[in-house]
Amino acid sequence: MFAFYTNAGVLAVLAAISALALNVLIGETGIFSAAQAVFYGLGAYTAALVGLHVSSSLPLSALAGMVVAGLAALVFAIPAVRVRGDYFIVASFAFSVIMTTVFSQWTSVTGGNAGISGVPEATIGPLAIAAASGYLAVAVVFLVLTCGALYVILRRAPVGRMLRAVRDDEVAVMALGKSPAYLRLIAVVVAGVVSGLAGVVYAYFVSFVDPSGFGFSESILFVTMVIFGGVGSLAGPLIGALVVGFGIPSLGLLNLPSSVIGPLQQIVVGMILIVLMVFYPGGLAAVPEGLMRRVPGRGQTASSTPGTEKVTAHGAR
Amino acid sequence: MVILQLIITGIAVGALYGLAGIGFNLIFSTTRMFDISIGATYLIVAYVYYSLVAQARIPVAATAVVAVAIGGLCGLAFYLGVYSWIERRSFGGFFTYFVASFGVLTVVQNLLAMIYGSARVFIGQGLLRTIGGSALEVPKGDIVAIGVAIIGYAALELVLNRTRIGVRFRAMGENQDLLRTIGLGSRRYWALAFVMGSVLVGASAIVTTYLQGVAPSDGFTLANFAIAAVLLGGVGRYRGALFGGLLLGVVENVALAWVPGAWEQAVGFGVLLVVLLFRPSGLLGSAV
Repeated sequence: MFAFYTNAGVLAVLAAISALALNVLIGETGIFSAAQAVFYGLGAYTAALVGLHVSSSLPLSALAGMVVAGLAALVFAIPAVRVRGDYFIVASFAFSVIMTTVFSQWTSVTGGNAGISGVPEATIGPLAIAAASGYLAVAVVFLVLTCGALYVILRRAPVGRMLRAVRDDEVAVMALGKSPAYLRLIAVVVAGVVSGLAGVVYAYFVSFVDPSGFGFSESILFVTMVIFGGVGSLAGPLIGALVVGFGIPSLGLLNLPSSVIGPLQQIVVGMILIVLMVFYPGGLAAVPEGLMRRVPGRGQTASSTPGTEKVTAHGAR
Repeated sequence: MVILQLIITGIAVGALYGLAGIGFNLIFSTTRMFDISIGATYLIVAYVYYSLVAQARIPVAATAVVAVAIGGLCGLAFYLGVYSWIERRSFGGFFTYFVASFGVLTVVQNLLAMIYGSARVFIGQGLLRTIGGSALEVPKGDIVAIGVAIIGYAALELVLNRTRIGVRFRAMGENQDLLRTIGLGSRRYWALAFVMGSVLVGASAIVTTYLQGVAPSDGFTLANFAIAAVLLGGVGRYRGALFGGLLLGVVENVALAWVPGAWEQAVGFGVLLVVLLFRPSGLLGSAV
């Protein structure tokens, strides 16, 4: 049981890093991505390949994973940020489908559906990390670093304010002479890099990567974590990731056949989303404050023609 | 000849994407709810149809009517059960509805996976029989698909342009607030849009099930192809949705002449990304 929770703990902390990254998009910039697991996966695949063929040095792998995930995020973002905010989700799904296909079909590099196994233990200098508790420590350190970096970027640097401005009023951003598309691009790349970092630790911890770990339902799990905790704060995604990250795998402890457990976990995720949106659109973080902020309705968002109408994405707040 | 064959299949598949896309477009432009749960409607209709035709062996025509009706009911149930609640409680924005409809799709998809298993199931081979000579064989199903899409599109255009309901729908698409101001903001028409959009999705579901069978994961894929078709054509444009669907279907099928089958979906969505790069508001859309 203890081992179960140490393992779940590593994965939950890594998921928390990825959820924080996703929150940069959903909470701060107001764009909804269903492809975050792809960047997690790119970090993991990169680490697995670097670990097997170059060196199992964790800092080196982390750097490589972040660069690869960041470049992929850039390639994805260039067309995707041009779409009006609401449809970013479809572009992100498109990217997710394409990358899942690449993971499973580019056999010579990714090992296809069989994946890459036998990733060696990560090393930091002379130190090899073997035990789950070691990876837990590494994951927690990365989580703290991520929190710090995102806090500075989002709350202390001008770019963070601009991102929130894109979320709240794109026209005002344009009036200031800034490009909302460029700002969204920055957000997508930052989120990709951070998720890539989490993926690197994942690959060394599990010592095995295959396409099933980075598909669409994993992306949605990240989304659920962000929404569950409450979007737009640093604490929200953290709480969400820990609750969902421990809670959903815990269902696996139930004595049920595996063909039932998988769908059951997904059903629970879906129910959580529905109930939250109906009763607490602000997520768990909004519950103790006891407030159900009444957001402005469609009244402020309508414009003349359906083809060009802008529907703002901050309704959940 | 192979290419011609693939183009015909592509047109059939694309017409079905387009039909579902028109359904999505109807719901979105009248209610402003980004309703990805059309995927859930699709799955329910497909599996009900499968149960009745392949398992209970009830005649096709009767079943089709029942299944499409159930599709309409699904739309109504999702609207009354979830979205209208959000609307009344918090005047939810785009994001709230999207996440909720996402939850609906997840729950339905996995409930069906529990009941029917996650493997693909098929209905008999009737519509896969071909007509035409040996050089060019067109499955009957492809013709049915194109026919159903044309009928669905024509019926919707007729409703939109020739009836009072249609006028109301178009007005809702133009300016929701003005309607409310002059006292015509009735929610009954929102519910009606959900029913009609879901019926179109249901029709698409039945024919697609004939052609490809159905698996729980299809719900999300279909919803995304439908929305991709709408994006390709230009949001708010019914003709655009049909055109976008056809383009997606043809491209991904013709690509099969060069790339392995596993890449089919990736190619379709790749086209979407490329088009968005050059025309962010869609091929038939106006400038943003």
